[in-house]
Amino acid sequence: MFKDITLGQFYPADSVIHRLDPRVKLAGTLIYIITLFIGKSFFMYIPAGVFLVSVIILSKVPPSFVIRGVKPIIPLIIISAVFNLILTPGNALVSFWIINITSEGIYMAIFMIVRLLFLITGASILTLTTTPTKLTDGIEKGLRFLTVFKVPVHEIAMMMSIALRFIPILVEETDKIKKAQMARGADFESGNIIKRAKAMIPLLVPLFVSAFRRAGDLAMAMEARCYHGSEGRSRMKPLVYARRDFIAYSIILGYLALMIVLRVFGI
Amino acid sequence: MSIVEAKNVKYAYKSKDEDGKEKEPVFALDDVSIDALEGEFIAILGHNGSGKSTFAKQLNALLVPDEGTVFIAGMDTSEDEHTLEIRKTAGMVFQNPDNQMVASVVEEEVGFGPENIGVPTDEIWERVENALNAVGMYAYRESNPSRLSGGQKQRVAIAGILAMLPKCIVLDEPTAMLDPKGRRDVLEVLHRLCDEQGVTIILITHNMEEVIGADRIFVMDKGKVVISGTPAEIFSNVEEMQRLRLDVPEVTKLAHELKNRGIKLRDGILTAQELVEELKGCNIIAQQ
Amino acid sequence: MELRAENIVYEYDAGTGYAKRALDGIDLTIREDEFIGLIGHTGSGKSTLIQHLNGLLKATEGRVLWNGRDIYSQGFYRREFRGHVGLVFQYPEYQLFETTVLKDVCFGPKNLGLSDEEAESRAKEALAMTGISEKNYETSPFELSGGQKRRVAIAGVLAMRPEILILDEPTAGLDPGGRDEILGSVARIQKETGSSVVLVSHSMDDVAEYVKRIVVIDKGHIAFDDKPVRVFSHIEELESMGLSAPQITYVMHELRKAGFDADTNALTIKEAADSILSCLNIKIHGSAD
Repeated sequence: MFKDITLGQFYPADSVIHRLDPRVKLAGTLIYIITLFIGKSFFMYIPAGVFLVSVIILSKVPPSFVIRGVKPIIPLIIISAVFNLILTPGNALVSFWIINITSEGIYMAIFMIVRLLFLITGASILTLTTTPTKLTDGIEKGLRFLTVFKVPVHEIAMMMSIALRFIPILVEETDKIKKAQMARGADFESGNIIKRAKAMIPLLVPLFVSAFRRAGDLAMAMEARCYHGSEGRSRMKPLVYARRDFIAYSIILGYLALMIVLRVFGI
Repeated sequence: MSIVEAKNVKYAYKSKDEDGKEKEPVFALDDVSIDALEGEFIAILGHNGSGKSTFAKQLNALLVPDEGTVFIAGMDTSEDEHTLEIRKTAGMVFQNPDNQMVASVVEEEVGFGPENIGVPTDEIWERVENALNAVGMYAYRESNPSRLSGGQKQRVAIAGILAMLPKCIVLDEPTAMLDPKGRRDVLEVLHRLCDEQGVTIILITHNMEEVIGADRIFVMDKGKVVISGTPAEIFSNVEEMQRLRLDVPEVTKLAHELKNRGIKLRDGILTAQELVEELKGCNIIAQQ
Repeated sequence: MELRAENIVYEYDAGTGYAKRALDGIDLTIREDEFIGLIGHTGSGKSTLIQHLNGLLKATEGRVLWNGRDIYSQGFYRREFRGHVGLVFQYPEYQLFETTVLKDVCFGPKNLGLSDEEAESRAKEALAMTGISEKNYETSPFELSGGQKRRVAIAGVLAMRPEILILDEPTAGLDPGGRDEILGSVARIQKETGSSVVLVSHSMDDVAEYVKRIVVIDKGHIAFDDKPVRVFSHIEELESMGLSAPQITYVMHELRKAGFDADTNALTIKEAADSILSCLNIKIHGSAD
């Protein structure tokens, strides 16, 4: 079940997008998402689409890989489309029982599908082209200004990178415990929802116990290696902007300006 | 010069009973005195629950004594201002290789310690390279630690400590979860670091085969040091070791059995070669 | 009772370009009242093999037969079968989850559909066999010591009354005392119940004293399947597989090289001492003539 999730996975390749500073990619993704929400018409989604497709091509990530990342989100997209379809007021085209399907509803549903698809694809390009370490580094350095508001940015970034490091370990552990319980005759596959949920207890309890034990061990090991928060810490791989990063910033800002102009002039 | 000097250390884990009252303390360490000179290879043997891991944590200021003192390179572990310096001087490697790694790339893992103590970027790279070379893991610098074998992970963990340029490395059962090859590789690295770089090694283990090459051994039981001496001295006491739920090498057991049956052999035979040499001697005596 | 693996082949990621053969044509038969040591270094395929023996993994090729029936045939009840072939994983204490020791051990028998009373009586029997005292039945398994937890976990499989008990490195991480206790109880259980036991290990020293048959697995093949003494006589081949013979065997071989008439088949300290004494005596008598 974990195999299909490409969201949050890294695709190793040597591309200009991979080499960009993670702060640029984070800012770019944020701006891109904002432009999706200021877009009111299909027409505005043409530049957004062009922007997205160009980035995918530049990233050298195979389109099939990108599409696979969208798959698990499809149920979510369908649900929101259906809600838009039946809940948007306007000229009823079809109506039965208490449901009215309006032309505005159809328009909104399609609009929502496109928006969500663009959103997920854009976000997955960020994680597909950025290693977890670089991503957390980018978050830590890019959001450092938040420390003024007492947001523990360094700690959040450290937690994220540790979580990413332990995901494969816990996935493997889950598999091991599952097999060990199956060897004791446990059944995870049959029965109704309640029975299945109950069957998860012998899996989840050992998993939590183990996760807590690991957390305790890790905290001690980190302390033993002089970890004491961000204070006085140096970096092995500090983030430094290169020329391509400034070029990328200009392109992103140019794109944002275009979208704002389109919105203001109401096209 | 003494790198580690623990004198009359007492330590108890505090626990509370169901009414929230403090329970009678059970001493995990009861009057322990252990010292290590610079460049020595020290082994601390003991069965599970003998207090050896609690002692290890004292050396890194993760725990401080209730009574008695621990000095690391002349610094008192109970004084807070020395804590970071002590942890730099006496690095620590733990049992479970997975649970002590922070980063998803080997070189970043090794760089974590130097980052914490504010080493400049260029120097971190230099230290990481040297440390990975010292443990024979440089070729894996860009790998993900979770793809390495247990023995390789422990060597990376050792490199992570080495990059902080410690004088002493304390290892708490570093081989307990490894296979024989991983064990041998880790042991070899430790002996090389001790011999070539003069790093003091304090190896905590219950595996007697790993301590044969040590300079001195301390055997712990119920929070006390019960025997100490060279490997040959320790293992000549077969019955005592077995009483302490510890083993002696099979060869030593065989030599002991032969002695019990009336053959004159010297004490403290640890390897097959030694035994064969001794028996050859018997042969000559017998033939005369 | 007979468990037979026929020409088992297992590939990871079968069907993709990355397929890797973990097992490559394994034939193995386990019968009643056997005590087998399954030896191989890390990555030799031994852990993969034992998961085939109780049907947790399905072979890419070949089949596993339980009393002549293919365990993957239609209508074969694999859950019940796992009660017949009990598998204790490495570090089994990490599977404990119940609030009390007794309840945890009851988990297996209850999954087999036994009544509460029957499950409980089997659990108590299994706990007694692994040396857990009655006063610990109602304690939380998480409060026990490492060695005790492991014995409770082993009892959890024993309580299903398996006809074959497979233990994957049951002594990993234990101190010598704990190791002797576990191996001692396993040997006693084997003797008392007459069930077959497979001890998986990478150490010959651990199993040499106990087992009557040794299966050596290397790179997904069975390299040796014979009596311990016969397997240990292949010292050089064993070393090339990253394994070693027991230390006593080395001593006896060294003595032989040094001109002693030492018995290289000696497996225990006592046998070795007998042999050394007898060749020293001959020398003494020889010189007296």
